[in-house]
Amino acid sequence: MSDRWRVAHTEGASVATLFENLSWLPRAPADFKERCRAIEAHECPGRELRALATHALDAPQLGRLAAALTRLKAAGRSLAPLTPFKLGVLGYGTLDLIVPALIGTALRHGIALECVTTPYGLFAQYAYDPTSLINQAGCDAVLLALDVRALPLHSTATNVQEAQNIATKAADFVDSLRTSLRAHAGTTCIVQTLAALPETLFGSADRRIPAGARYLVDACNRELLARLDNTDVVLDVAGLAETVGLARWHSPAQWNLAKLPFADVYVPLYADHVGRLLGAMRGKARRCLVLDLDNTLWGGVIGDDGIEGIAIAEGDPVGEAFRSVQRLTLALHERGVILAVSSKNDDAVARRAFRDHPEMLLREHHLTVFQANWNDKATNIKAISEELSLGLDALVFVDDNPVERGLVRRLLPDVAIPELPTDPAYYARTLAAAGYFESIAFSSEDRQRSAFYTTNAQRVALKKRVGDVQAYLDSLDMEITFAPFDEQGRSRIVQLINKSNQFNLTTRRYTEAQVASLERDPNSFTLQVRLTDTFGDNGMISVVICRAIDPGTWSVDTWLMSCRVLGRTVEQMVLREVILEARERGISRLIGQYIPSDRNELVRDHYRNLGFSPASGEDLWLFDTADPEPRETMKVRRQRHIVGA
Amino acid sequence: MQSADAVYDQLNAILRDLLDDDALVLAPDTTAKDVDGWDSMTNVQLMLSVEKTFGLHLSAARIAAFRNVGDLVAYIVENA
Repeated sequence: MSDRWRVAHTEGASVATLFENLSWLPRAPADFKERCRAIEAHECPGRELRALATHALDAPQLGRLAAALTRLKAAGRSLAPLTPFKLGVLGYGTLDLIVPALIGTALRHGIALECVTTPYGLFAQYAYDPTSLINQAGCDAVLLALDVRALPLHSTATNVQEAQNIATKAADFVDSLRTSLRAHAGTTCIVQTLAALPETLFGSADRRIPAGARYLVDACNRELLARLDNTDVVLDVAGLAETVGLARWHSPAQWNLAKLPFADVYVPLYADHVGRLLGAMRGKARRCLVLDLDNTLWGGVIGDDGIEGIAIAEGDPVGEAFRSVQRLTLALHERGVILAVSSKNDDAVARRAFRDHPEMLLREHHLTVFQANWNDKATNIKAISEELSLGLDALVFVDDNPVERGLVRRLLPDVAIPELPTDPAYYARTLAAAGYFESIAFSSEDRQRSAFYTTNAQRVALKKRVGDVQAYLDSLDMEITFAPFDEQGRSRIVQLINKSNQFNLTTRRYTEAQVASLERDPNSFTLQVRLTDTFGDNGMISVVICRAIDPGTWSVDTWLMSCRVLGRTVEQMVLREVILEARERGISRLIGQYIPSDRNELVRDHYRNLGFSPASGEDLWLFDTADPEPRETMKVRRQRHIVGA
Repeated sequence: MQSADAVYDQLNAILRDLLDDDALVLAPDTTAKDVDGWDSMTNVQLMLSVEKTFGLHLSAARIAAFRNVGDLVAYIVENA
């Protein structure tokens, strides 16, 4: 299981502060402030605002976005492709921190939000008065941001009936606001559930006895929900507060200081939940989940580890993490989310897991499109979107590899792509926390929606390549390090030699002792190759062994590479290094060999693609080192070769 | 313990961000009414940012006792 967990990348989403920091979103770019300031100069400012909003932003940053939106509106600029939405916000306490965050966050969900508020403390008057601003503004919806403090929920009840009366009275009050807003403004209401305060009177009995505060809050929440009809929308603040912890949600100091209805650190989270609802009300919730396979849907690399080597078993702690991802995916499928696969894999090998692995929860019949090939994922995801006739903004793409995420984000910015923590145990939680599939209602039609799409795991032909992959690779700031075999690298070299199957030209296996002897073999030339990029250290990703067979000739005995770095011109750089070293040593000819196995179809044309010419028989390929070497596509570091020392 | 200069740098950065004014420079005797836009909500946001940035809690009584920026800086230097 080693190299897959080796990525030294530590920028992964933080698990402890997942909700507080919206860790499924990438960090804000360093030039965030400048881009906000320069918004007027952008040719498509609506798109730019949405792109900026699709980061983990704090309240001041969200306020900055809100201000940028206000300036654009004042200048009469088009906000396409954003959808306008006018939201009345009625609430108890100070909403000044919340409103700019709502506006900044709504952009993330494709909404250009305008908020209509009331003066502090006047929410009830504004709801009841038919001539009030809220009722006259033509709101598309009104958010009733009430919490426990706003309602008469002080329990004096000694029996169930009394408690029920108190709960009913509180719910009646909310209901009167709701019906009044509907009558006067003709608008949908977003009604919040109530988060209980963490302070209890009786302890555990608070939940059980009618005099308990939790008992009353539970009763009131039930009442509130029971009165809503299909046109109303619920914002489950109670659920949100439970998720992060009531004691963290409610800050007595901040309530006293500024009447903040909940702790300021949760303003971005609260705003995102409102934004999801607004997006869902305007049909902008995502509809299709595109999944990577290796180390996303199961542990391990199926092409190298084999079907029996992947981690997906119940009872295996690594396997359980990936089972959680499959379980969530399956549940989403059952509620109507369309599933697709985009994986760098051999199609037949990848499908075998779905057909033959007894512990897999997902099967081919759950999947609508199945793209397992070696082409870039942006092109594949575009093809999936076209096949399903869904916009890219309806797609979510989940991949453990930050480089793949970065590529798709850059070339297809409308696709939602969660950042993932380093521990796969938290993949499912992170995907669920991102709330991509927010739904304001659930009907049997929703359940059947995915059945409208044939689920036959079809393979879609690729059309034109999407965007400029090379420009993305250039932005990765890759640095490749070449070194001869040595003691420090030995165990990893042995491991790669003995487990790499896919990108492996000859599949020759060597023992640790054999590898050690190569370190001092004057007739061999060896390379261990490492790669770093802006996302971190990929570790050792390629190994080459050349043997001098005739004077002036090297035979490439072994050439293997981790598929994780496929499509990043690593093989060209390795050949370049081999050619440069060969010339140094007076080697004029390289002989490459491809020995087919049942796993290495991927590299059948490896030597042809690199400009070798076919020689007679046995899949041999020749390269004259006087011919030009591949161009340098990344920074190179060399550690000294001590051959035959 | 942080130097007063370092604290001023960070406070300048926080308040510049809150007020979107890159020219703002705080002095020991600066008070809210000396600065355009520094209203009560800005003050709340500043206090919350100070708590987060310096890892301390400011009670309501403590906040009420700050007469100017100099008092705030002195408290941070002492307690952060």
